[in-house]
Amino acid sequence: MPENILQIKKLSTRIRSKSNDFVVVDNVSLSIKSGETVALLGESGCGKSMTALSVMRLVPELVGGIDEGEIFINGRDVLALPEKNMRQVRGRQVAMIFQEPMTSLNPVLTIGDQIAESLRFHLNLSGSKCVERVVELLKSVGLPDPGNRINEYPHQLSGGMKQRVMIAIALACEPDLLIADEPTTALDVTIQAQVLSLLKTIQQENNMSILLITHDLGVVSKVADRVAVMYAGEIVEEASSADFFNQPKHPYSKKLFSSLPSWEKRGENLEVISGVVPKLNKKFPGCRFIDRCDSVLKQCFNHRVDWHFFDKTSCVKCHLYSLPKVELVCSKESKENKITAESSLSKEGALLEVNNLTVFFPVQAGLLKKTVGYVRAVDDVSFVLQPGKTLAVVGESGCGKTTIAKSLVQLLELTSGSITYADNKLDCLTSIQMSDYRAAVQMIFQDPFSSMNPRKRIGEIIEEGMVALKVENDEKKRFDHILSLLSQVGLDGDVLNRYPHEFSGGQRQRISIARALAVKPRVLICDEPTSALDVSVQAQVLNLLKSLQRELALSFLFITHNISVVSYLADEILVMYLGRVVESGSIAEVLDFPRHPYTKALLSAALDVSDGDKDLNFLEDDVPSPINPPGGCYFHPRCKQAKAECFSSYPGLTRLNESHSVNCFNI
Amino acid sequence: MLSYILRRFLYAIPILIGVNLITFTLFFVVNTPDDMARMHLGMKHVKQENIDKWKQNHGYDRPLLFNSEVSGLEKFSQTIFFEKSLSLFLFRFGNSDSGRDIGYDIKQRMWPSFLIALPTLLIGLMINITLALILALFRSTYIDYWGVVICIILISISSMFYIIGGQYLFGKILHLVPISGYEDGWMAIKFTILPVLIGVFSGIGSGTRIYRTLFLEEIEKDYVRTARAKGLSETLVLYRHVLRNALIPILTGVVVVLPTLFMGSLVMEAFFSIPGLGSYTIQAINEQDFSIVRSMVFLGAFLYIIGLLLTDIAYTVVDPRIRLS
Repeated sequence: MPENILQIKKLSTRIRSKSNDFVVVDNVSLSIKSGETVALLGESGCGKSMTALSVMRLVPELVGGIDEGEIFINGRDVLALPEKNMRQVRGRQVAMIFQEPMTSLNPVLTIGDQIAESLRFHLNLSGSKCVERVVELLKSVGLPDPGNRINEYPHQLSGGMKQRVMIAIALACEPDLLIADEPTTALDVTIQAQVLSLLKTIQQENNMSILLITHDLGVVSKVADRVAVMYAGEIVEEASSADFFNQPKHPYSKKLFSSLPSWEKRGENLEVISGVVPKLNKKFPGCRFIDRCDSVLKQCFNHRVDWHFFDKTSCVKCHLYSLPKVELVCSKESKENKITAESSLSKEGALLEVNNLTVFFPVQAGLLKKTVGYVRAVDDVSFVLQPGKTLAVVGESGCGKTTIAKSLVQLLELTSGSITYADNKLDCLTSIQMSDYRAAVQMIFQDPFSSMNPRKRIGEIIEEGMVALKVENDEKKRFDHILSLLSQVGLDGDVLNRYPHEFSGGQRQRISIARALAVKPRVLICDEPTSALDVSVQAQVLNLLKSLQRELALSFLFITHNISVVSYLADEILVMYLGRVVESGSIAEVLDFPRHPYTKALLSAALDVSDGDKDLNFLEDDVPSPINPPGGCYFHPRCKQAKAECFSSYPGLTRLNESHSVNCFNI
Repeated sequence: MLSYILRRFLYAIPILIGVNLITFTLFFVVNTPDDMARMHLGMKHVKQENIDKWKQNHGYDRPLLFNSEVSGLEKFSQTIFFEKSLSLFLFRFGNSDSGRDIGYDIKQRMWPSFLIALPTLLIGLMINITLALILALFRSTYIDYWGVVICIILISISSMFYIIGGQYLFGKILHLVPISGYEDGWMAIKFTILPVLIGVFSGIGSGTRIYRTLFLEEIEKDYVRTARAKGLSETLVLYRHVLRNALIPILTGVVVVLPTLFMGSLVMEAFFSIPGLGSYTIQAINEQDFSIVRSMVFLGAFLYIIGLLLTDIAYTVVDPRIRLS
C-alpha cells in the first residue's frame, strides 16, 4: 500500500480557445496521504477546479486537456490508463462532489436511483441488496426517513439535503479519495456547518482522504490538515494548517488574510489585492503575483521562482525568502490606512422608520385557485434606520431579508404596516413625492452579473435612473455627474461606452453602486452585495461603501448572511428567523452578548478564521416552511433550550436596554 | 394534479368559443352570403333574384344573428349564426355547397390522412433522435461537423423536390410502387409507403438539427458531470441522463401535433392523390366551397386545442417536477 493516496507530479492542463491557449494548471505537484484533508485555496480563476477535474480526467476534451505530468492514485498512473479502466477509478477510487447541489442532480431520476447507479455499475449490486445499501448510505449522511426518501426527486429536497445526497452518491463505493469542489459555498452558514461536520465524521469513520477546494479561509481552518494555496495556475505555498494560520508566508496568502473583514478592523480600510488574476495565456518569466504584490524585488520580474523549503512540510514560491534581501523596487506598504475616527454624523431622529411591516404571499391551490394559506415572508417587523448609519439584517435564506428590501423600494405591496421616510408616511405621498422617495432609497443587488442589462452601455445604465426620476434634466450636467460618479467608485470615464460583460465582478458591482448613487439617494439597500465576489474583491467593495458613507452621509440597510462583514461594517443589527425579528440591537451588544439561541447558533456557525480549531457548533435540520411555521416559538424545533412554554406561544419582545431587545422566553 | 388537468380543460372552452366567433366573422360578416352567391354565379350580370334563389337553396337566406320575422326563441335559432356556426360545436357540419354531407366526407377521408401522417411522424421521430444522439456523441468532431452540414443541405432543398424526385425514382424508373393513387384495405400500404418515406426523409434535416441542439444543451448541465464522475460510460450517460431530460421537450412537442395528424398534409396528399382531408381542403378552396373550408378551419382549431391539452397532461406524466408540485 503506497503512502500517498493521490500524488500529482508536474501537472499542466490547457484550455484552448479560438485565439489563445490558457495554461490553467501549470506544473502543479501535490500529494495527499491516506486519511488526510488537503485544502486547495485560492480566488476564482486560479485553476483549482481544473486541477480537480484533471485528477478525475474529466477536463472536457473539446476545449482542453492535460499537457503533461503524472497523476498517481493508489500508486497507479491514471493518465496512462485507457478510458475504459479510468471509469473503474472514477466513482470507485476517487469520487467528487460539486458546488451547486441544486443543479448537480438529475431532475428526472429519483435520488435512490441516482445513488444505486454507482452501486450497480461498480459493485454489481442489484435488487433488494442495492436498496438496502442505498438506505444505509442515506442514513449515514443524516437524511431523515431514508426509507421513503429514496423515491423522492431532487426538487423535493432542500439545498442542504441535496448536498447530503451528493455526498451519499460519492460515498457509495467507499472511495479512497473524495474531491469536494466548494461543497458548501452555495449553502447557508448553518447548513454549511452541518455539511462540513458530516464530511469530517465520514472521513474519520472511513479513513478517507479529502481534497477540499475552496476560497473560504474559514472552511479551511475548520477541516483541513494541510493547505496548498493556488494562484494563477500555480501552487505558491504549501503548509500544515496550523502553520498556515499561524503565519502565512506568501504575500498572496498574507493578503488573503488581511482582506478579510472583521470586528478588529472596523476603524480602518481593509487591505485590498489591487488588480486581477493575470490571464494565463502568456508565459511568465518571473513571479505571477508581481502586479499585485506590495514588496517586489528586482529578480521578481525575470527570474523563475523556485520552491523555498522551510521544513519538510512547508514551502513557498517567493523570492523574498530565497535570497539575502536585495533592495525593494517599490514598496506600497506605507499606505495611509487609518480612517480618521468613526463617522461623526449621528444626528438624532430616524431617516427611515418601519413599523409592523408585514408581507404575506397568498398560496393558491385547487381548481379555482382558491387562496388556501399565506407564506408569511415578513411578519410584523419594525426597525429604525438612522441617517449615516448601517443597519445589518442577517438570517438564513428564506427568512424574509430580501422581501423587506423589496417592499422598502416599493417593488412589493405591503400586506400591512407602514414605512415612514423623513417623517412622511409612504401611503400618504403624492406621486411627485413618491418619485422623490424612489430616488432617495436605492438598491444594490447580489449578483452583479445578471442585474445589469447586457445590451446597454454603462453610460446608459447609469443615466437611465436619472432621466426616469428627473434628477438632472440638463444633458451636459448629467454627463458630468456620471463622470464624477465613476471616479468616485474608482473607474475611468472611458468605461461609459462599454458593455457590462467587459467588466469583472468587482468592477460590475462598482458600476451598480454608481448607478444607485446617480439619483442622489440617502439610503442604500445592499442585498448581499459581496456574496458573489472573491474575498479580495469583497474588500474593495466594502472599502468603497464605507468611504461613500463617510463622504455622502448615506444610510445603509445591509442584507447579508456573512457575520464578519456585519461586524466590520454595521452599527446595528437585526436577526431574522422565518419572517420575524428574533433579536436586535447595536452591533457590539448582539455580537458579543447574543441572547437568542438562534443568534448564538448563527454566530457559532459562522466560521471565523481566528478561532482556529473550535468545534463546529451547528443547528440541526433545515429552516421550516414559512407557509406552515411551527406553533409557538418558530425556533423551538431547532432550539436546544426549548421549554414547555416555547411549544405553545410566541415569545413577546423583551427589552434588555434601550437598544438591545430579544424575543425569547429564556431570558 | 387532477385539478390542474381539469383547469386546463376548462381553459379550452373559452378558446373554442373564440375560435367559433372568429370563423363566423370571417366567413359570414367579412364575406357575406351575397358575395358567396356572386362568386358562384359569376361576378357580373347577376340579378338579385338569382342571388336570393342561390341563398335559399344553400340555406343562407336567414339573417345573421337575429331573426325578427319569427317569434320566441326562434328569433335566435333561425339565424345563420345558430344554424351554421353554433352547430359546429356538435360537429354538425351540414352540407357542402355542392350538396354533399361534409360530416360523412370527413369521416371517410380522415383515415387515409392518418395512415400517412402517423407513420411519417413516428418513423421520423425515431430516425431523427437516433441521428441527433450520434451527432451529440461525436460532438465537435468531423462527424458532427459534416452531419450538421448535411442537415442544412437537406433543409435547404424544397420538399417538392423530394416528392417529385421520389416519384420519378421509385415509381417511374424502379417501378417499385405506384406513382400516386389510393386503395382501401391492405392495398393501402402499397400507396402510402412512398409518401411516408418521402415525408420522413424531408423532415430529417430540421428534426436532427433541433434535437442535436437539445441534447447538446443538456450535455452541458451539471448533473451530467456528476454522472461522469460516477464513472458511467459516455453512452450510458447519454441514454440514462441526457436522453431522459431532453425527451421532455421532444415528447411534448410531438404530443401537440398528434391530433392534427388527422388533418393530413395539403401538399403530400395533393401530389399523391390521396383522398384525405388535406386534399379535401385544397379541393374546397379551389372550388370556393366555403362550407367545407369553414368546417375544416374549425376542426383544425379544435384538434389543436386538444393537442395543447394533451401536452399539458404529457408534461405532468413525464416531468416529476410538474407532477409533484
